[in-house]
Parts: sequence; C-alpha cells; structure tokens
Amino acid sequence: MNVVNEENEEGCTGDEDDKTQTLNEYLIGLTSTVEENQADIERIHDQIFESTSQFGIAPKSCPPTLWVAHMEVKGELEEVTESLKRKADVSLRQQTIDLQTKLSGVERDYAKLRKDVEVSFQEVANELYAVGNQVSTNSTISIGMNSFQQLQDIDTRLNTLQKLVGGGPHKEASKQFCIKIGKFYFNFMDDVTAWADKHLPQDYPFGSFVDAYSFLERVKSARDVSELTNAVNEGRE
Amino acid sequence: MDTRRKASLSADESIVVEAFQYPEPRCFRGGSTSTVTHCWLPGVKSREIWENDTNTRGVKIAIRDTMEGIRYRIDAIISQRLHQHQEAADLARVLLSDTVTFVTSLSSFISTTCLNLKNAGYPESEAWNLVCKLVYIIFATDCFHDERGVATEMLDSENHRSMSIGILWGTFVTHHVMREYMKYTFADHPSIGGEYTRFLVANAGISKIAKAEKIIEKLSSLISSLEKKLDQVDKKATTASIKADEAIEIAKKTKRPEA
Repeated sequence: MNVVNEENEEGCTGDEDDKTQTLNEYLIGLTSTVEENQADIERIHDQIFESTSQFGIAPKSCPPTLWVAHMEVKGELEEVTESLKRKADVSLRQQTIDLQTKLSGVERDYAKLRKDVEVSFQEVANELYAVGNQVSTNSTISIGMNSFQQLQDIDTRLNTLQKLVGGGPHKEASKQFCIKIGKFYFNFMDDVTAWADKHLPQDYPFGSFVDAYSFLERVKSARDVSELTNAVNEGRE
Repeated sequence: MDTRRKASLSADESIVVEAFQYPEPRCFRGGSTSTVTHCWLPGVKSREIWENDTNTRGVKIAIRDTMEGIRYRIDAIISQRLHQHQEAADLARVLLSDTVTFVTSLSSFISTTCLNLKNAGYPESEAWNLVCKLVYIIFATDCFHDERGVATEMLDSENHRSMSIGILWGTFVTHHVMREYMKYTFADHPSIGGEYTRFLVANAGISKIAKAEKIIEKLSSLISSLEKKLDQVDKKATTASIKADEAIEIAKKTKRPEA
C-alpha cells in the first residue's frame, strides 16, 4: 500500500493506479480468506484434540515431555498386565491339564484295582472249586486263604481310593456333565434353557420327552403287581 | 405340587411330573409304601412277581407286552405337540428310542443276573435280594441322587417355563446315567461291580472256605485214623512174615518120612 502511494506521488499513470488498486483489493481479500481459514483450522484442530484426548492423546495443557513419560509408563503397564494375563492363562491351563491327568491316573488305578479284585475273585473261586473236588492236602486251603487275604487287602485299598476320589470315578465324572444325546450336546442347565427357548413351542410340552422313569410310569403294573403279590401269597398259603 | 397346578397339566405331563417325585419307577416301587420287611424294591418283592417260571405273568411280562403300545403313544404325542418343531421332535424321538433300548436291556439284565446267581448255587431269595439292590442303585442312587433330585425341587415353581426346563434337564441327566449303564452293559458298571464284589465277599469266600476247612479237618482225622490202622496191619504183617520164615526153617529141618 505504501509503495503504491509513493509511486502515485512520483507520477504513475491512471491505468497503473487501477491495477494497483485491484491487486490491493485482491490481496486484502486473500488475507482475510487466509485468516478465516486459519480460524477454521484452529477450530477443527481443537475439535480433533478434544475428541482424540479421550482416546489417550495428550490434552492441550499437558507438557509434551510429561505426556511422553506418561505414555511410556502406560505402555509398560499394559505390557506387564498382558504378560501377567498370559502367564495366568498358561498356569490355569496347565493346572487344569495336571488335574485332568491326575484324575485320569486315579481312574486308571481304580479300574486296575477293580480288575485285580475280579481276577482275585476268579482265583478264589477256582481254588475253592479245586478244594471242593480234590481235597487231598491242606496246601490248597492255605493258597485259598492267602488269595482271600490278598482280596481283602485289595478291597481295603479300593475303599481308601474311593474315599480319596469321593465315591469312585463314576460319581465324580457324572458331576461334570457332558450330555450327548444323538447330535445334541448339553453341558449345563443354561444350555437346555437356551435350546428350549429356541426350539420348543411356547407351552414347553415336556411330556414329549421320556426317560426310563416316565416310560415305566406308563406301565400299568402297580395294580397288576398287587394282584400278583396276592396270588403268590395265596399260592404259598 | 398342589392340585390346582396338577390340573393345569396334560395327562402325559402329569405322568412325567409323577415320575419325578420318586427315586424308583412305579413298577419297582409298587403301589403301597408301607412295608413290614425291608425290601430294596417293594414292587417286586420276589422273583415270581418279576417273572414266573413259565414266563407268562409278572412285571417283566407287563413291561414287554405294553412296551410297543407306550412307544406308539409317545410317538403320537411327539408328532402332535412338536410337528412344527423338527429339531425338538428329533431329540424327543432319540430319547424315546434310547429309553426303549434301556428298558429292554434292564429287563434282560435283571432276569439273567438272577439266573446266573441261582446257577452258581446261591439261594433264590439271596440272589433276588442282590438283583433288587442293584436295580435300586441304578435308579435311586445314580439317577436320582444328584441332578434329577435337584430338578424335583423345580416342580413347585410357579413359572411353567422354569418347571419345564428343570424337568427337561432332569430327563437329560437321567439319560446320561442310562447311557453310562448301557456302555458298561450294566454288569460291568462301576456301581454294579462294587456291589457285586461286596456280595461275593460276604457270601462266597468266607462261607465256602469255612465249609472246605471242615471237610479238610474231617478228612485229615480220617487219614490219620487210617494211617494208624495201616501201621497196625503193617506190624501184624511183619509178625506174620517172621512167623512164616520160622515155619519154613522148621520145615527145612524136619526130615520128610521116606516112602
């Protein structure tokens, strides 16, 4: 502006004045546009800052060095937490596997002991048979008594094992239900609830689902049984 | 369950609810609950009530003869109530089929076990008592004890949905136990095997060994008596032999008279 004025004072032509004036206005407009854009950019920047600070980006008031330190600590904490979680998962999984292995071991022991008992009983039975048919010496009886003693030892061990596993592997295993019926699997009552809500009519017609109890309940035998009992008793008298 | 609630159920649902209230099925528990003498299954106090010798009367025969009819009836209920719910109908039919197989195998197990024990020399009453105890274990201990028993607590629920789901859970759990028994063909199931073992220990080993011991004792005394007699005979034989030798010597010394 000043330059143009000075040139005017030095005797510039009218055309040049007009061009200068136009250029000047254009520059003023451009400046104002730039200023408006800057304001917009700052506003947008602020909005971005507000929204990003919620996701762990430094707030405007926080000094950069402090923020970097904060982020480093936070990162380390997250790593440590993740590592602990992984370790806990691995440990828990390992413990589960160990327990399952132990349970399988106990079940194997139990099955083996049962087998031993059966074998011993068979031996006793065979020896008793031998005693009954070929009584010639006392040695057969002593073998029989030894076998019987072994049998009692096994029975004692079996009882101890049953106490340890809480009534034998079967009862323990049955508490961990994995019910498989055809293609259907149910582990918990919640599974049944979810299945029933999805696949049954609104009135939940449970009468369509039978087991040995409800099947045998339909055998009209109670009266017949009473009649039979009476008939048998009368026959005896 | 109160009577008002019972009245709101269909006939088949009433049967299922009734079945849930006892540890054993009706045909085994019998009509009367009062029993003078203890019996594991009051409904079948003796083998004759289960099946007679001619196989023409008894609870077993009643089960066999009504089985197909019951199966047909339940299948009809499934078709009627679940015709628009294919997956539920499929599950119900699997349960029905498994139940028929289980009941058939159970009947066979009861008869075979009693017969085997009788053939092994056990008195019929003892054999039948063991069989009843085994059946009681299957139902009252293994099926009813845990989850089925828990499901019975839901019978009093005011909410029909909760009660239905409790019954379904109890039914599925019962099938789980039934399947275990089928897998072990009953006799080899751990619960049955354990009871069998106890029975054999109590009834076979001790009494038979005691009998055998008595026989051995008797035979031993007989043998020692025979040995004594044998000694006496031996002594007599030796004496006789000595006397014979003496006689021969005397005979040799004595000259025969010439003819």
